[in-house]
Amino acid sequence: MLPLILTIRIKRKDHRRLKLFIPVFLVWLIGFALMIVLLPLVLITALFTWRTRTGKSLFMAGPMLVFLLFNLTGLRVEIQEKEKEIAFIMQ
Amino acid sequence: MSEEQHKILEMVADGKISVEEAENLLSALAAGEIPSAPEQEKELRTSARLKYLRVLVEPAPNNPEGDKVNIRVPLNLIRAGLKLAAFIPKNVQGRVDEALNEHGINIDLNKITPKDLEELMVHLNDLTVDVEGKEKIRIFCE
Repeated sequence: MLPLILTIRIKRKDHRRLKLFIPVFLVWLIGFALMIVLLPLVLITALFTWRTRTGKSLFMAGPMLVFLLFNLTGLRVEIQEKEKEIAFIMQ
Repeated sequence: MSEEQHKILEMVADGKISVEEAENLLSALAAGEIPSAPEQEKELRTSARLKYLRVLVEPAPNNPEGDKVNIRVPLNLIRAGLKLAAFIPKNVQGRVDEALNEHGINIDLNKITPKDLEELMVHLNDLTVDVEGKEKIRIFCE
């Protein structure tokens, strides 16, 4: 499933905490709208450059990129420093 | 006679491989260098069960002030990245390889196939790297 929220968690040693929920689904919405707008242009370019490898790459890159975005769910990075702890969670 | 041995003999009968090649294949099969079909199936099932690549960086006991890092990457993301890498134009790929070489990583991304990746995941049980006694890096799939 496409990740909807990016959570950023910052915990300091003095017990101050910050938890941010970033709605990444808004980025996907804008991205998909942009993709639809650019699709005819991409298809025409791919058609004209099909003989070279560029056309096929251009044509296949879109679905691959979507596949990549769909698999971002579950990505988690936690860094624990001396003064603070930071976590990025895609969910 | 196992299924693999039968297949090799069939390939000789069909003229696809020479007797010498068949001998080499049969001896490799006997030595266990070629995994048998059930073993390959088992490996595939194991790799399908694995979901995440974990990288844990922990400071060594004599370095209590070191940072801790815990990274969990979905394996499907790596698979997707590998597929996407195949569509990178050759001139860009050359520059990527150069940058990797500059950092001492001599890997040609073009040569890594999805099958190689699956095998790596299955065999990457628990790799621990000790960095100059300052920190330990654990890499494993779960």
